Amino acid sequence: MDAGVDASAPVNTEANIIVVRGLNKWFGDFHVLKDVSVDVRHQEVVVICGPSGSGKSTFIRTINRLEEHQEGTIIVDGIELTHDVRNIAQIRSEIGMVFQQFNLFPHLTVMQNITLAPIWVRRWSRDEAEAKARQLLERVGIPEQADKYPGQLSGGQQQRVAIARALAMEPKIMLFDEPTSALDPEMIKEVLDVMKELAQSGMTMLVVTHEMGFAREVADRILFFDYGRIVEAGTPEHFFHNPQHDRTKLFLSQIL
Amino acid sequence: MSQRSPTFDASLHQPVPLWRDVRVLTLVAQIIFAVLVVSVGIALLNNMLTALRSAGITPNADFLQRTAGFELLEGPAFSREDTFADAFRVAVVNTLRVVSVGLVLTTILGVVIGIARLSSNWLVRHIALVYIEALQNTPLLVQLYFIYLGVFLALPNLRDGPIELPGPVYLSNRGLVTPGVVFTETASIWFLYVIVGLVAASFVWYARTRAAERAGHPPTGRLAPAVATVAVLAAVGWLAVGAPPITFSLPVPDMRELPTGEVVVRRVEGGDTLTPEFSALLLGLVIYTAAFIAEVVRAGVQAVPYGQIEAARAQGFSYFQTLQLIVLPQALRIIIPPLGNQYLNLAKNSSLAIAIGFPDVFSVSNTIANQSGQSVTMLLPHHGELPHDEPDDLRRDQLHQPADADQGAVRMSDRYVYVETAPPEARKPPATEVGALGWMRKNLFGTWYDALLTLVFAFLIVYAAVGLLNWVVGAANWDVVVNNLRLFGSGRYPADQVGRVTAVTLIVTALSGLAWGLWGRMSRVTQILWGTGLVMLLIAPAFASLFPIPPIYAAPTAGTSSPLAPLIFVGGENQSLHLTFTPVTRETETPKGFIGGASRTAWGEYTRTALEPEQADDLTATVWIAEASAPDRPLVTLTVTSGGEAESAEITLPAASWYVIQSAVEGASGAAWLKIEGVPPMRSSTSAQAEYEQVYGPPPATIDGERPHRLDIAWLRFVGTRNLSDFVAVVVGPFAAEVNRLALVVSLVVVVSYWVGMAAGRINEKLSRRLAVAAWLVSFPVTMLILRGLDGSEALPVVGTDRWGGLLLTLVLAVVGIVAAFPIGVLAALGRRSRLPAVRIICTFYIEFVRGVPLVTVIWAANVMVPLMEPRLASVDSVIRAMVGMTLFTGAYLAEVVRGGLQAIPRGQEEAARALGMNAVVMTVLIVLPQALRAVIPAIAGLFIALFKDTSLVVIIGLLELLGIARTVISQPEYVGTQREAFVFIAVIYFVFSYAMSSASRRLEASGAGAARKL
Ligand SMILES: Nc1ncnc2c1ncn2[C@@H]1O[C@H](COP(=O)(O)OP(=O)(O)OP(=O)(O)O)[C@@H](O)[C@H]1O
Ligand SMILES: [Mg+2]
Repeated sequence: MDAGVDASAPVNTEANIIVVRGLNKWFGDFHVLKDVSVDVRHQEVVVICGPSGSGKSTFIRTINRLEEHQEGTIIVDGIELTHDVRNIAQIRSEIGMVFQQFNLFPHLTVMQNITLAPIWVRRWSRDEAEAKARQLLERVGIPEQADKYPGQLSGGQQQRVAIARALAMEPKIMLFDEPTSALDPEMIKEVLDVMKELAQSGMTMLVVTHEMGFAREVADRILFFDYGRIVEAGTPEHFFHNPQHDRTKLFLSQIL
Repeated sequence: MSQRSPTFDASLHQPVPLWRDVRVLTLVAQIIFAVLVVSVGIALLNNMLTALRSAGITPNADFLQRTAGFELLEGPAFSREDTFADAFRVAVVNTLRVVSVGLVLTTILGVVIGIARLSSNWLVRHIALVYIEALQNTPLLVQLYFIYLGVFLALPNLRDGPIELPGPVYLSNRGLVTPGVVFTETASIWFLYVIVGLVAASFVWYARTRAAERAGHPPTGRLAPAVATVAVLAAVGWLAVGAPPITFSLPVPDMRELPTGEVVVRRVEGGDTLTPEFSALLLGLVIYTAAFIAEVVRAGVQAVPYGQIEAARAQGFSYFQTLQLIVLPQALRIIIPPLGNQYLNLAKNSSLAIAIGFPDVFSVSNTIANQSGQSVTMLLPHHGELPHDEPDDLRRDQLHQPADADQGAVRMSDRYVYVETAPPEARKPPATEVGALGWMRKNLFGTWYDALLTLVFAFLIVYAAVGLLNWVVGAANWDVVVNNLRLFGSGRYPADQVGRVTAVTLIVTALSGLAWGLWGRMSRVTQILWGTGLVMLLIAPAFASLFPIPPIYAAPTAGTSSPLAPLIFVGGENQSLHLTFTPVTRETETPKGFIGGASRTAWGEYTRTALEPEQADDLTATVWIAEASAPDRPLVTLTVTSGGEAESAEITLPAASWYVIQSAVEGASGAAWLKIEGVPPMRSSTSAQAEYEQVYGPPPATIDGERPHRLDIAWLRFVGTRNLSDFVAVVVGPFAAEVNRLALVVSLVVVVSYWVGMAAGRINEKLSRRLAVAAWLVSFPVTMLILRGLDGSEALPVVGTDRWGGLLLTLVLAVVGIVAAFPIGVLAALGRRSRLPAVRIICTFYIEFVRGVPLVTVIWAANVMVPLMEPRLASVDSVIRAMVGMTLFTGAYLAEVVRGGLQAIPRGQEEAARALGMNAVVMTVLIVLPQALRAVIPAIAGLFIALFKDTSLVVIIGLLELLGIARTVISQPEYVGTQREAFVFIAVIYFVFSYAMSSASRRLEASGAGAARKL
């Protein structure tokens, strides 16, 4: 049991880069996350899916503290997420995040978007940061766009810039929240390709997505959320060919 | 058809007759229009010049060289021997001083409040909200008067000793004296060092920046070296020049002993002085403009999508880095244009200096100004909530499986696989998350600095609230309001015709109620509020009568020039009074209750004189009380002597009638006072007086050949601090008695018409709405007719506009302003979009010229120039002139609003109309205007609200609208020192109207009334 783990399972922060135990979160009176426990190992790619409103986004956002949780423990790379500002800052700089709406900074060029955090947060020199940025733009396939503004790029290009921006901080973990949902079908592929390449390079990734093809091909494990809890977890093999839970079956029958 | 018909060809080449040629027609139309406008203009100008010449004034610039003959106490040195040109220069300096200091301060305050508005701390957020709403919904001029008269001039007299604050700073009604800086002779040399230091520092700054850039670091660590450079050079210079270049001058009060032995302050010497006028103008402009800047800042920051902040946080930026690198750069682009407008407004508004006698440009030159003073509220874009996912209940229900589906769950042996067995149920959140506790943790005590802020502000609020309550309940003299309600309501409108104002009020109320029922929905909260309001009004007089009325004191005194004149009051049958007659000694404490005569000081002086130490107390005083019809048959007589015992009596009045109290005094000195319990002070308003006469008959004109005083509120004054019970008995009771009936009727009319509107809407919504709109249109001429009357009519005698005043005039000015401006605004907007250059240029000129000039000057110019322009207009009174000015002014703003609506109409609409063969007029009336006007309804509402507040500017030409009445009332001797009460009262009126209208218009906007109709 490693996926949706028992809340009482032993905590092993050596093997697992993310350890979540008994996570509970409420929005006001609304119980969004119910007793969620997960372990994520180094270099693992975890895809999270489930119906709309089931708490997927909320879950991955609690991992870098964009949402505060009320009960339970989250340990990232051996550091526990508490109210300590230093811990939060440290964890955030180890986790990159890519949003559905890209959230590029419209007043900065692509290059500035990518180098801003390394310079101001990591305190790298500009040359260093820019060299890194060029390398990353090369990696996501748009080296020629460095001096454009986000508004001048296509959706797929913007999302690739966002990925490069997140990678520029040299994170150990990448969170993706429906990175392709705002894209036209022909742009989805270019983003997914970048993500696959990233997965192959050994990055630990948590990906919320409805792209089942991607999940089947890349995921080590799939977590299925419903009503704020993990109802089923397993390898893509298990998930697509042998789902056990009726909720999962119903979901798959609708989505495939 | 292979061949064209020859006739067709021929007609193609036939010359078009001139009168049908479009090109000629447009040219002729433009010429006619231009000639008309220009000739009317020339005629008016000519009339004006003639009128001026006949008055012996030739407009030229020579007067600038004449000596001014007046003094300016503010700004650079100026005496009466200097010329007008010098005066003008001083005025420019003064204006620049106020505006430049004001801009800096208002920006700081505005940004702080704007950010506070977005605080996660509930208390801070709401304090900012209250600040913004309170200041935006009351006229600037009212605020200025309040600050000037109610704060700065109400500071202690310099003579009696100014307030001393640490610094030292001295505050008195002559201004604010702070420690000042004095430059000595060596200052100029020292400044050279400082300048060199600044130059060196900028080199250091530049070098550090370059170095950081070359190293590729973010540019930090450059401020400290730069500052150090300046500091070092300044210090070196200081030592080098020898004598200190700058000294400080501390203010020192100059004391003087009067021959009487009293020590008074003659003046404060040294230091820098800020006059009350400068301080009031500056403070008023700063806090008023800050409210608008705060809204600009808030809107700008909120326009930055939340995703931006999240993305920044996800990358590990700190709070301040996020603000500095991500939020502010984006927000500034949105903030800067409207911020510029607010700066311009501050500069324009500084022309209101004239109202408080600060010699700025407008005030000194008192002519046209290219400075502008209009405070048309900027309509900020409204931002919705941040979007977040809504649960899709329907889909969830479809998906949701019965609980027993979980029974078959299997635990896979693969450690990678997990299937839920027993699902955790939804639980209640921990107590620290929800309910009062959770709310407080999130909104008040989120972090330690949040908690600190909360505590500090909570303390400040409690402190301010207690102070305010003490003032309202205990100290403020509300007589100025209660006794003058009719003046505040309708000014000098004849008392016997006031029914007409009431009738108009009811018509408008009924129509508003109807509209509310037809278009709006009354929320539950509103219903409850109305209900409670009604009940409270109903019971207020009865409730107030439960509280004991404080006693009345009257003091016959020996040795004064006027022993107490006879007093009269009304008493009912079997009403019982308790009288106590006490000889006053030096030990007797000042009583608490009403005293006869003018003021507290007068009372103090009165008893002091009576008790002068060197005078012997040898008083024998007698008072008696009798029915006014038989003054020589007293019901009771009380006599006391100095040093003797008090006398008291309990009497029961025999009949409902006027009663009289008289007194006789023997002896050279000493005092005694009569305490009367059981007689409420009579009300002094005209309506109350009429009521008394109806019940008790006319009051006796003289008693023993002397005019009696009434024991009424106008003659009596409360001394001592009121407690809550006194407040209810003395203020709430009489106030409720004055407004109770009108308020009740108005509320009932609203409720009834609301229900009628609702019912009518249910029966036939479209027809009812049309009828309601028609009724509104008709109501305008009808109400004006009722107010003004008909020439030669018995039932409705003419009441000239010069008699209109108070709230009535305020509302009339605003309504007339917007209604009369409507045709002008629509035509000017159409004209500005005309294809004919002459029309376009003239309309554009009108719009832009008027918008560049402050309303004060437009009103002022209309007042001066209307009579000159045309001899027959000379007799027009200034209310009409003000209306002309406001109409012209509003027309220009309305034109811009309408133009916005016109631009919002898709091109296709016009093209389609033309393609259908409509001519320009038909197209405009049927297609373009209906759509354009519908789109700008909310903007017009905003304009109306701004106009409503701006009507206060007509005090500049001496009209008696709400603000003018307040100023008149407080200048009456019996209300000396009640400026704050009067201004607070009218500010509340302005606020209630303005706030109600703006929330109604916000709802109108939200309901989509302004949106283009969906197809
Ligand atoms: N800030 C918030 N305040 C209150 N409720 C919220 C907030 N954010 C999310 N929710 C609610 O929490 C639940 C889970 O939201 P979440 O965004 O995590 O769902 P999701 O699984 O990501 O759905 P989707 O696939 O539509 O993105 C939803 O019902 C949502 O309405
Ligand atoms: Mg989501």
